[in-house]
Amino acid sequence: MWKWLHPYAKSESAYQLCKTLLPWFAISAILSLVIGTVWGLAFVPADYQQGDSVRIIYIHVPSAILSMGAYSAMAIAAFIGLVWQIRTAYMAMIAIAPVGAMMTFIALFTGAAWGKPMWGTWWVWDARLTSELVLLFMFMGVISLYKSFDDKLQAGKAAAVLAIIGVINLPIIHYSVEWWNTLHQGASISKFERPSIANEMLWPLLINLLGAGLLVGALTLKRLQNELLRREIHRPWAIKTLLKEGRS
Amino acid sequence: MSFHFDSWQAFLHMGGYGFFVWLAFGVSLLAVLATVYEGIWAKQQLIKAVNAQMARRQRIKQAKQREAATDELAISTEIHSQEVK
Amino acid sequence: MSVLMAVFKRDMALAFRQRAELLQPMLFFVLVITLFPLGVGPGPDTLQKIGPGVIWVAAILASLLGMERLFRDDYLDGSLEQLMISGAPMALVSLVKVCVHWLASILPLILLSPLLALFLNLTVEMYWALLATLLIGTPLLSLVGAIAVGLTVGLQKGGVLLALLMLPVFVPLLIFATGAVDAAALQLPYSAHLGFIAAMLLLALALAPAAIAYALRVSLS
Repeated sequence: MWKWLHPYAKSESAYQLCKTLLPWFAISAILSLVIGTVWGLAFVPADYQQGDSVRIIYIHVPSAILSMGAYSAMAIAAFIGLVWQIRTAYMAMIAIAPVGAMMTFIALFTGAAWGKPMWGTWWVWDARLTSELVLLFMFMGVISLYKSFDDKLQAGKAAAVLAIIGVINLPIIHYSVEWWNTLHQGASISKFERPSIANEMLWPLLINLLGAGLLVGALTLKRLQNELLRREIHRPWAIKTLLKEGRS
Repeated sequence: MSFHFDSWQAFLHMGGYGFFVWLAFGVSLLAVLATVYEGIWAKQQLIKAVNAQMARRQRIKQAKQREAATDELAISTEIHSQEVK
Repeated sequence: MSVLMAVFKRDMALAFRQRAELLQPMLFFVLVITLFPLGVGPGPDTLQKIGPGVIWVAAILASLLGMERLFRDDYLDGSLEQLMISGAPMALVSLVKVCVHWLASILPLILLSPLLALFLNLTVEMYWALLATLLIGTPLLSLVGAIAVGLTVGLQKGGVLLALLMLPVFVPLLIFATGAVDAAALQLPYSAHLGFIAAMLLLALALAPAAIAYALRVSLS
């Protein structure tokens, strides 16, 4: 079933695939995000409880969902690399990592900016926020482990192992923080439930969710292109491609 | 579906939450732009590296050619001086 | 003078070339501080009470982590020895190296401190006091730490030894730094605390460079 993927283990074909797909992802990402954001910012009614601050949800929710999606994609790439020994999979893994970290940061920051007017505090140690913060640390861990090796094949393997262990860790962390939070009743903030959302407010959210996914895709494709070229810079195809693109 | 706010001031004001809403949207946009820019910049660095490598190869090749040329000159002068003798 | 500028520029360039190594103390700093709410519970009052101490201990640990790098690379490739026999004034060179280390490794931690003050629920007055203690106290850490690093530069596993050697400095520094932030929490003046730390810093500035140079000579002989 996966035979169609096999040609892309070769870095040159992977590069061509990235090059072909990138414009589609980039343009549809920009379109969806612009439509969703403008709709959510200006054309949706305010929430009767939370007022206009609820518009932050149009960035906060998609970025939070994509932060976890990006981590899963990174872990899948890591798995493929380790099991089938495919170098381009490691490169895909390390291409996704900073994009996932960016999404996690956006989720955390927009959450804090929403929390301050709504619940009076920029930060609180509740289960979801703490788990998301740990997710950010995990992305940074994978990136810094990869960077600390000179031999990039070894780096890929080590970072892949870390990425996969992180997946197993994520539910553990989330549930343990939830139990920890119910143990220590000291937190002054009681409820962090996402407001159940009316239909007319749902559409821009879904559009932005799609747009955020396409954005992660587009950024990853670009970074994968760069990583492929960087790793294969001594090969003739890479040199030819870079010279050609340098001239244009 | 219509424009929800009465005026641009109201749009910026965001019902009192303007600072937080625009802070959130602004920082998110900056983060995305920074990542986009990093992708573009990395490609340019790679192009620069390859151009520098090509230029270096050219220089090495030219230096070798010049060296070979002066050797030929030395050899032909040597032969010529022997013939004269 | 030009020797000192040359050493400064070289060390700064080298420090920022290995960005991954620079990030490690920062990550460690944030990780250690994140562990504390998980350990003692998320109650904002508890966190505020232990906050200044936690941030200072984390800063000490993070700077210990990065301190060994001060002379290690130069020692390993022989350039430290070259510098010493070249006749450069080693006391001043050491001061320059400590300066570079502080700028590259410690200053980023101080730049992160507002975020961590937020995590531990410190008030704004407490934060200003914390910032003042960090700005005066961390150069003191770097200067005295460099003496210990100079003594252990040739050793394989000097890590714990470094902490032991620096303990006499840690104790008064921690007491006065956390005392200052606690005073700020109660809206009391804390200039006396800062003054004591500043006095220690001045003493270190005067005496440490010579001690570092002597320690290096001992290690490399």
